[in-house]
Amino acid sequence: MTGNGNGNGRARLATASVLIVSGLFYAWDVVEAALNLQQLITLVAVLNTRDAELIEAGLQPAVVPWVPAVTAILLPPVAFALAVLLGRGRSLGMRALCLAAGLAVVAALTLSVTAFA
Amino acid sequence: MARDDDDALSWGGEVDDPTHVDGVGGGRSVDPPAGSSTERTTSSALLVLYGILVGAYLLSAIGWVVGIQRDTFTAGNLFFEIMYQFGEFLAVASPVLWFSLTFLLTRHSRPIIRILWLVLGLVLVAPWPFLVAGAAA
Repeated sequence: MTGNGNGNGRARLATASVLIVSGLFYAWDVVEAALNLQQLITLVAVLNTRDAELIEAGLQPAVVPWVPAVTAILLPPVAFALAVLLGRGRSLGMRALCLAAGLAVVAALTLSVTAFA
Repeated sequence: MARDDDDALSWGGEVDDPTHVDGVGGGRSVDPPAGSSTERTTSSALLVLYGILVGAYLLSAIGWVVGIQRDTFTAGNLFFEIMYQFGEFLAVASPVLWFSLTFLLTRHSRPIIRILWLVLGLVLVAPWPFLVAGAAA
């Protein structure tokens, strides 16, 4: 009975460790995207002063890539939630694979939306 | 006369031969069971489709490698650079991870479900930076 309890405890600890470690990587993706958005806001403030000059000169003002910047922030939490849901009730290895695949899809999509910007 | 006709239907005294054993067929039809031919065709078509999808996923991974080699972005400090390159590595691995995960999760599902997930993955983890740059070039 005690052995079984220890086994359950270890399994929970292993699951929690996988969730925390992968969660940190997902969190970093959000931080990175938030920093990019902050830089973009600073850049827009500079561009706004130039836009008036550009329009006066008959040129088009620069298009600000708001959609990719916001998408990059929203993607990691959505992917993390989906990976956790998909891995529920499965083995630790499958859970880890779900989380790793989610992280990889976030990385690929973030680079892709940047390419479309 | 009738006895002569019966003799013509037997072979080498097999009726009287105690060592004679009837064949497995026993005069019954040896046609394949109904539907087996269709199933074989479907599984062959599925195998071809899986082969095409594996090829597309491999091309996807290669596309990411080429796209990333063209990327000239460098981050401000070492930590950002390491994390950015880790993200690039994950992007290269994304087709392989999606394919493996789909195959493992849809083991007991119908083939159409597996194919739909694989096609969705192909769109999601396609090397768009490489494809967009290729289209622009």
